[in-house]
Amino acid sequence: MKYNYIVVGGGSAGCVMASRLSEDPEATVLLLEAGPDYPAFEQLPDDLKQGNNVWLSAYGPHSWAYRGHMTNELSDLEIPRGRATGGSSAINGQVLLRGIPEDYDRWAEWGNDEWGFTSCLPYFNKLETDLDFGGGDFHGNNGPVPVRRYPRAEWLPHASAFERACVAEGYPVHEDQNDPDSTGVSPRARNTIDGVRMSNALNYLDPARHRLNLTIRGGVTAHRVLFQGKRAVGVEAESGGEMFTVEGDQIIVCSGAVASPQLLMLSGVGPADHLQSFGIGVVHDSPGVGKNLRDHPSAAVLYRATGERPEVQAPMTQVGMRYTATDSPLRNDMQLQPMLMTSEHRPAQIEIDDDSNYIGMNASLQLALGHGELTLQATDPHVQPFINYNYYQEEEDLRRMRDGIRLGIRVAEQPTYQGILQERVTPTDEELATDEALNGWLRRNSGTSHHISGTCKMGPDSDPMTVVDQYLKVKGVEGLRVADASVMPDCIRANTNATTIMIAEKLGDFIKAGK
Amino acid sequence: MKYDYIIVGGGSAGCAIATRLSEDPNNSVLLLEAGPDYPDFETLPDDLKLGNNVWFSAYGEHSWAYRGHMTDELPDLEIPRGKATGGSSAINGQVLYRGVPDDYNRWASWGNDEWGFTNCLPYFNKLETDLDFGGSDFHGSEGPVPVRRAPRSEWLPHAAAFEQAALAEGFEISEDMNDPESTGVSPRARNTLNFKGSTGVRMSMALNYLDMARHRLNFTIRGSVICRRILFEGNRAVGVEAESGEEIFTVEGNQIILSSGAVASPQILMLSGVGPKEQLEKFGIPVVHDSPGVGKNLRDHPSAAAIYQAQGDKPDVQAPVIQVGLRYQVPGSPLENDMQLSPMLMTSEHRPAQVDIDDDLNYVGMSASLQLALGQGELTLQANDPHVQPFINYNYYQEEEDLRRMREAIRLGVRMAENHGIYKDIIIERIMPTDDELADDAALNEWLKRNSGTSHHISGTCKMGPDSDPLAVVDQHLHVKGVEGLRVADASVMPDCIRANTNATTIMIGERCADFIRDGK
Repeated sequence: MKYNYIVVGGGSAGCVMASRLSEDPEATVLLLEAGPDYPAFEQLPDDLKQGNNVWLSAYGPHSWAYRGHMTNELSDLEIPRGRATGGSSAINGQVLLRGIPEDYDRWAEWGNDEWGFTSCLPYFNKLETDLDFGGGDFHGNNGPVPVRRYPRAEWLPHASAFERACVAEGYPVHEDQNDPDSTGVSPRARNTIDGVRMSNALNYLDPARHRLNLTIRGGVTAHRVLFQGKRAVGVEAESGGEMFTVEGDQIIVCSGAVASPQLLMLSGVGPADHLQSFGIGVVHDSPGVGKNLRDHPSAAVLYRATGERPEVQAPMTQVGMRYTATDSPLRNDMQLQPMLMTSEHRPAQIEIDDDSNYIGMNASLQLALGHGELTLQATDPHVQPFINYNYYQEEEDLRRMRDGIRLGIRVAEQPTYQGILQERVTPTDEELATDEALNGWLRRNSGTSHHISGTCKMGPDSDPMTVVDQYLKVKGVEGLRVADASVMPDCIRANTNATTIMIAEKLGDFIKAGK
Repeated sequence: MKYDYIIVGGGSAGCAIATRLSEDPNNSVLLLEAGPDYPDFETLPDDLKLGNNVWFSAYGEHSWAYRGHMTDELPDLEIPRGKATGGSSAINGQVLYRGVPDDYNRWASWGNDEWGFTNCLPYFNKLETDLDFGGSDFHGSEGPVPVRRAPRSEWLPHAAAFEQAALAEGFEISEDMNDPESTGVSPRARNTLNFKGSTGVRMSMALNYLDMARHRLNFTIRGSVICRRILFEGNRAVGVEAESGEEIFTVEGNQIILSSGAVASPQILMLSGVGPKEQLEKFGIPVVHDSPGVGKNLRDHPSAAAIYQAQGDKPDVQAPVIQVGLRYQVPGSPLENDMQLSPMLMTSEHRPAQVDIDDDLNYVGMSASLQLALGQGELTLQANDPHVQPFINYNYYQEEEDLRRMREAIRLGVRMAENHGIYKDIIIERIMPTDDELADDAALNEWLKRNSGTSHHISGTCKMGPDSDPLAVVDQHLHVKGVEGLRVADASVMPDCIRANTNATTIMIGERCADFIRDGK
């Protein structure tokens, strides 16, 4: 049997592709997801359902739990990526933040003229129902993804203190962080409704599940895309310990910025010498596959906090600030946000093994100059690629993070935090005293914001490192596209989920328009 | 997209056919089921999972809850039929009982030479793993359906008494009810197991067949999809019009297999234009093929129970209803093993629809079930709407011989309960039929007409047979006559009912259909 479309990967983008392509009842669509699918909300496990404590989900049973190399000083950190329908949108922090217009305009400037901000905006609007600002020029009111901000009445005390402290530091308040001109401190736009993480499995798949032209298969691991000559004709996949072949007229790889380049390479599309070193037959020499690994390095100043530690499902993210690092030419290139920190609320790079209450001031570099890369470690699809984030190769990246950490400390030492914060735990005064000492602390204490991207970047043929064209067609072969965070030419200055969904919405229309 | 095979109905036969056809990875198979599908055993609802109290399941939320006309004296009765993957095997009593050889040999003698007992036996063996007798000439040891008999040490006192009383009446014990020569009193062969940490699990065909095949990427299982009609191009079936999530879809298939059961298979055929011409025209359905036998020849096992008030408290809601049974030949009848008699728990929580119990007292029943009635009913459309059930007329007791045999059986049940002293610590008194009703054939006939229900073995409504029989709907390879690319495979194709609970035979029919298809028959 031959499907019209096979979508490999049921994450943020794959859910959109499956749902939009199957709107045409004549189009037959197969969605393959390596993790489980939960068709009934009543049976959705708590780690996927409950959205306020991102860490329980990110390090829970539905993560790939990849290992990543951040720096030489921190060489092996657990990397959460979602493994269930919904993908990482099923285990993430639900911040639905758009990049700033310049992010997309840069993509366009690099030869992707379909991707300027004004071309992307209609899709940002299409994908959402903004429950606070829906219906304006910049917001949708009948899209699949519900967005809201916590009203201030629901903010935890430390979140309120953060806003007042940022204002005291001279930053503006902006009520709508997704406004193109937004900067400063804002309530977080989140796709969380009554504490439920509104993943794209809920937002996109559930309204489409009944369609008989859409087949959703969980628990299926793609081993490789099958080619006849240069034409992709199907997928070899593992299900229930057996191997199957499924045929498709068009294959769309939406496996995310780790697994999409991995699958391309296992299928013979990637750097020829790298493939040959593993004995993989080269279908097309594409040197950019796995390169250009982008992400948002992040590190948190840790304070001991007053009072009992909060309950396990206290909301982790309610408020945040986007700002431009001192002397940086890149607008809004930093995010600073306060975070609950306890043994139950913490990223992997922060160790808390007591029951005390802490709060972090978390700096996240939104547009790093440095980049990493991802390489195969085996021909076995079950063996993860080596993920080298390669943080802090650029002094400018370190400088902006030092600036962010020091700003976090100034914010935390504003009087608004009196009665909330006690002493600073890390970095120490010594570590703060010199740039070199702080660089060392950053290298030992930085993790990922879980925004890996760029590993199959789009671009014109003039750039030999581009993997897909701006219609997301894999170069050098026929019938194969990639659509997910891996096609971003550079990271965006925002959490990546909204942009990943937008990319897929755009591809849905490209395909419908025959592009 | 065009599937190689579309199976309409995920019941006992549909699960077997879909699983077998998808064994070949080059076959693409779509299984449509009107009820829900539960891919994870852990989330299987209790009414499907727990098998000991059949009534809890049969009248639960996964039944079509049809209404049936039994006799003029009995108001419409609720008719359980399964509505979930597994079909009625997901809500039934789990008696996995084969017909007697003569049942299948009669089918063969009517022009279906593929269906003699010796042709069917390999498939009865193939479908089962008999945990007690597996591996012999007459039993399988590696099939999908597990079968066992509750050991006597687990029998409830009334079940043990039943066996003693049957011996006292001169019947013999047959340890293996599925032996071709078996007659007399036997432990019930049941597909009930302690499974994955749960006790008394009903091993439905969803568990036995689908679960081993669900991972196959050439096999798509879709629950909650209602088939509205088979689509034809000329006389060739090319697809199915189906309702899913309140939208209408078309799916295309090279071959369509209708396994919707003895109620819905003839209904769908008629809604699709295959059926008695005048009936279709009455509802404005364009006739694809005039097939006068569709919906006719409705067969079933009429059943009625003598009820006794019993000693002690009423049993636990999941106490095993069915542990032992008697098959025998009614005196004066020429038909071997034409009757079953079973002791049954009867409480407000354990009762068929035709028995009223509205107190918390404890009762037991002696249930007689006529295995080969001479009478037959029919099923007719009530609307050109797949959501409106057909009129199901069981039409019981039109034949005096059927009444006579049931009278005999009820009186046998009463003798067993009352004459040998075996039940003295178990029963208190007979509630019905009364002494007056028992004493007089005419009175007992009236009691039977008011108090008989179905054994849930509806069958025969799309019977197979040679072209010389104008009422045959499918040929012996189960092709629907007069059209191309369409088969029926379920209890509806039985030319007559079999002298046994119908599930094993329905699965056997599914297994055979898959092989007919594989062999190009």
